[in-house]
Amino acid sequence: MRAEPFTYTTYGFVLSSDIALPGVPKGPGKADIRIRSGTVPEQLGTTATFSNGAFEASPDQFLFTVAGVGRYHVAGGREIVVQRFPGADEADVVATLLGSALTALLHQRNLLVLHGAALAVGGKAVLVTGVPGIGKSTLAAALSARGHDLITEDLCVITSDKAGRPVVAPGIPTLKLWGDALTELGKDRDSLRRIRPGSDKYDAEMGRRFRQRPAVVSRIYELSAHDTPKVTVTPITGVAKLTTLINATFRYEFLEQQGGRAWHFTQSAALASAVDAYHVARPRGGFLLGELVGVFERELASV
Amino acid sequence: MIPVAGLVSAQVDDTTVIMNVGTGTYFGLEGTGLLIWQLLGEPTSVGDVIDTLVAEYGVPRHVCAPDVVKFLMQLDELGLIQLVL
Repeated sequence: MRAEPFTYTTYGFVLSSDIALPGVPKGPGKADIRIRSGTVPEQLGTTATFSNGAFEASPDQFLFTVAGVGRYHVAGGREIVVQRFPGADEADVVATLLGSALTALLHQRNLLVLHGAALAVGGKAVLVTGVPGIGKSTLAAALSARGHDLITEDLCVITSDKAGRPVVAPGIPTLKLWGDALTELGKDRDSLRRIRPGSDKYDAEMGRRFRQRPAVVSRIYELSAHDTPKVTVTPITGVAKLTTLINATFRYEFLEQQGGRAWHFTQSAALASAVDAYHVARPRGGFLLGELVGVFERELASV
Repeated sequence: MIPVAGLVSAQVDDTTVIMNVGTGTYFGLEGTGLLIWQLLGEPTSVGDVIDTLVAEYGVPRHVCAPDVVKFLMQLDELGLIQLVL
């Protein structure tokens, strides 16, 4: 007999999963998305319209493999099947499930998924995007400690409200932070759970510093490192705004190969038109959190 | 010349952005560039485009022509237009 699956609510969807997803909010309801362990074929076969060794796509199916972790089959915007590889670390299995696999599924639902953090500012949402390692999570932790509740981190799933305004859905109320970031934030790492044994990255639960409702997106800040002595903020307009959103799109190559460029373009242009966007350049050498937070506090005062 | 098949366009602020969904390349158009793009809505020749701009802006033909040709070559390199013979 099979165990009752777990039920979770995140990114505006109800997930039914026979794989435990630590940190994802539990929540009842009729499942929109089903996740299960099972056997995943090595190939999609004749239905595949794209295959490059790393992943395969057909109009409503997506298949990918992560070495040492597992194989994932994503179908119809409704189901993810995971086949773990022997010896796979469960934290890696779940991280890939909630990252690449869930994103491929949301692409099948024609949803824009940006890589970044979203913070609540006066009831609206401000997104911070940028390449991995640029300091989005650390900045999000620092700003949440100053009263800007976290809405989501890592995946920003964009939908629209009844008035047609772009909104970002609440995600997972945890920030993954490096040990040195915790030190800089004055937090005690010993009380936190490591994301996996031996890692110097920790799960920091947001608790009350998490907003559980969607919020209208008002601004986007693209963070990057440059040869500059000081943090500078420059507005982004026109076609460059669209470039910012394409660069921030999580797994853009997945949706490209699922024939998604047209819907992605339309939705990105709609989001770009609805928000103000800024490029934030920080010095390449050091991550001066205090200075960056100071700049953001001045910026966010006008949202 | 005519726009190639498989283009989508959208407005971002004051810019009209065109994407070729087959290749993923995209391009922002404003002002004169946008006017030229609109002239390409139906099959037209380089000469017709230049004539229209000369009439519209009152600029001398020898000033206008090189810029128009350069711009159309740019659109061609981006795979946004094709020549129709």
